[in-house]
Amino acid sequence: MLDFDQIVTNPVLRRTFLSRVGMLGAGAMVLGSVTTGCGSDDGDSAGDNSSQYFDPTNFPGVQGRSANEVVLNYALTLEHLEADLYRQALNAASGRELTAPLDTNVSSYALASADGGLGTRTDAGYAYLVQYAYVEAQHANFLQTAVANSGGTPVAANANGYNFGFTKGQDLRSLLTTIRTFEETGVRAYLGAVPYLTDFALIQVAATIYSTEARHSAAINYVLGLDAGPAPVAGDQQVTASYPSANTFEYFKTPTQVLNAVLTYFR
Amino acid sequence: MKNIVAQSINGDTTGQEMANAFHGSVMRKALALGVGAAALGMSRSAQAAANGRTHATFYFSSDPGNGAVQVPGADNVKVLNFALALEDLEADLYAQAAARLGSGGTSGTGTQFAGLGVSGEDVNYVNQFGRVEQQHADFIRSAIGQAGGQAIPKFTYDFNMENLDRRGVLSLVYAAELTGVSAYTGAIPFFVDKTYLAVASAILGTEARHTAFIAASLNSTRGNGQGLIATAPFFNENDGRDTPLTPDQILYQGGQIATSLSPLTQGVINPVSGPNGFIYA
Repeated sequence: MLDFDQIVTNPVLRRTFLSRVGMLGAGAMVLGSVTTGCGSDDGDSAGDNSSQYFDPTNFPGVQGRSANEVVLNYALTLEHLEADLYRQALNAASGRELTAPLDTNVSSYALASADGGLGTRTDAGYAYLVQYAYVEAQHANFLQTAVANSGGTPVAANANGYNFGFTKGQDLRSLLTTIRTFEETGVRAYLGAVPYLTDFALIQVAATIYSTEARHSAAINYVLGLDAGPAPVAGDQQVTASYPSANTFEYFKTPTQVLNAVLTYFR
Repeated sequence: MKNIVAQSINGDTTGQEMANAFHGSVMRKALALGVGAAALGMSRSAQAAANGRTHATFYFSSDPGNGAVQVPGADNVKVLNFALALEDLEADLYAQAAARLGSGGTSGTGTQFAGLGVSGEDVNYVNQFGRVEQQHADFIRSAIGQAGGQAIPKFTYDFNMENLDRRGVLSLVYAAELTGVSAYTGAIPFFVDKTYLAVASAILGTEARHTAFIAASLNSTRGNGQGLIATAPFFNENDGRDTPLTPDQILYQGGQIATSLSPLTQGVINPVSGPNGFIYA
């Protein structure tokens, strides 16, 4: 099966991929910023309207020339935010300035904050914070490269940054509690984006990020003494009408739901 | 038959090492087929291959040429049957794990094993996740029926529970869930349309959660000097993403049933002898 790494590094596969994202069509146009006021025919200008599901108005404000590219940029929008969330939280827990960049030396971090009552789960919780900070940064890099290598324009991180209300020295428990809500949202965001991708190779790529987010959610839930999940929260939608129990299947949120929720953290 | 021994975890262990150990010891030996072949509408040669043996092995796309038979069904149903086999395995594993942690039970080959009689959060998770896996299996079996397909028979397994201590039981469950994550991500491209994609993905997420939660639980009870078990891929591991394995890689990794594998230096599962530590129902 095609791996995204192969697609972006192998010229032949890449050509296939490029045609998938619609850039070979002479009429390919930059969709531009889509607002909720746009007409439904805007989807035609994306160069790839092969998805019966795709309507760019479902991704307000996300750019891309095709369904696949809009979805990748949507994912990248979230990964930028998550990467910065972790960077700030890691700084806060490690006694560093919130503005400090992610250290090139992963071993340089040490917990400087109180545990906030995590007790015996503190060291593991901090270790997950360090590990996942680099993972989320890598997810953003990965998606950025993927969009760029397909000839698209990767969405940039928010120029003014993000505000999660963290303070230097904040206790670990409260930091992880905030992170948890974003990881849980991330799981729901990826599951909600799957139907919009038109290509199973790309769906597989998205799934490997999605499952990682689910793992992060569960491990942090453990540290916080919570259930593994999934546990339904307000606005959650189900993939099938009836769930045998609350934690049998994951829940999803639509891109609009997710974007509305996360935009409040943009500075 | 004895084919799995779990050992305590010493030092850092990547998830993939544990998953590999699990495929090597269980998955590629696991799917057995016997008298159900005819009912599944298999080809005559496949039936002959199956009927001539106590156990046969499944493959998905690429015939390993040792009498293995294809996962039954076409298109989406075939993928669903692959997923169902995994869910049945997991449900059976959890049931036996719960019995081992509790008051004892019987393996698929009839081996009686005593219970460890322990209680605690990990026991609760095993019971909880076991219910979820059974729900997955029931859901997929029902979906296959609704699609007009024939579900793969339910097999039972021998996990050598009698040899597992508390940590060993949890480690085996962890490895199985990790295999589930690689299996679901790897199976996605084999669906022929999006009919089952959302549900399969919604199951994948829960497998991933179980994996991480059990790892985190094991991490909380690790001994002095023991490293953390991976709750998730590291940033330099497949770009921080889970690693898909194709159905054939899951079913047939290595292509051969190993009679002996070297103990992993830092792993948990040490398959010591094969073949076929399982039996079909």
